[in-house]
Amino acid sequence: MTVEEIQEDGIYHFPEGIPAFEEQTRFRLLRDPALDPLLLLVSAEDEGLRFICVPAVLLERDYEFEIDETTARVLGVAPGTCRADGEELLCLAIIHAPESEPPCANLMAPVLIHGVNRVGLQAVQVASRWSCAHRIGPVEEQPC
Amino acid sequence: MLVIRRRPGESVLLSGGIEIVVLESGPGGAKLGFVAPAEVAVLRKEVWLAGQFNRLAADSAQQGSLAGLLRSFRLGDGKPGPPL
Repeated sequence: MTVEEIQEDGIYHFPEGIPAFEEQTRFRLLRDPALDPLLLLVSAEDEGLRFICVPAVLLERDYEFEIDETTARVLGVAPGTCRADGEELLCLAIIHAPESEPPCANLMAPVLIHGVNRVGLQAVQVASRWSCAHRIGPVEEQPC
Repeated sequence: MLVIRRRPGESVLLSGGIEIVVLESGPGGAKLGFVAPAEVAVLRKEVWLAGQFNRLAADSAQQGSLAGLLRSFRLGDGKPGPPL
């Protein structure tokens, strides 16, 4: 699934929520050209709850993740190792962008969304080679 | 860190009515069972870390401007940033 295939009015079902927000089971994925390549994952139950995301492949061209049996059942895909630019799933990293520190992205727990099945989850990786605080950069101040 | 050697079938007790049982062990890992009161959360550490990150990410998505963040993706591609 590519970013272009996101349906703005679509609601994606997250049957397990995401860690720390297990009660939030329905999300929208908003794409605004002004924010490109960032995407907003917004709870359909609590509009105030949103996450800034970015396609993981933009952070690491060779990004890969594991789909275990449980994850595969939820998403309706085959288990195994997947590349972030695969056809079925959109693979997003959630970004933490505090005012005072450089932004970072969680590549240890990608958000996976199946566009056809309209289902998603956060696939927490075990013994991942990727960090839960992957630095996004370089962040340099542009001269005015 | 306290280290205790246990075999499958043996367990360790923690205060608060918590018991951790070694069910299986082998080269692929150990299978543990947990007996604990309902109010005790038992989480794989990586899930707990993801939850911590998600809380921080949700907070920062409420507050910050995205200008700096966008700039970090747009260095060199010549695209203008969004109006702020």
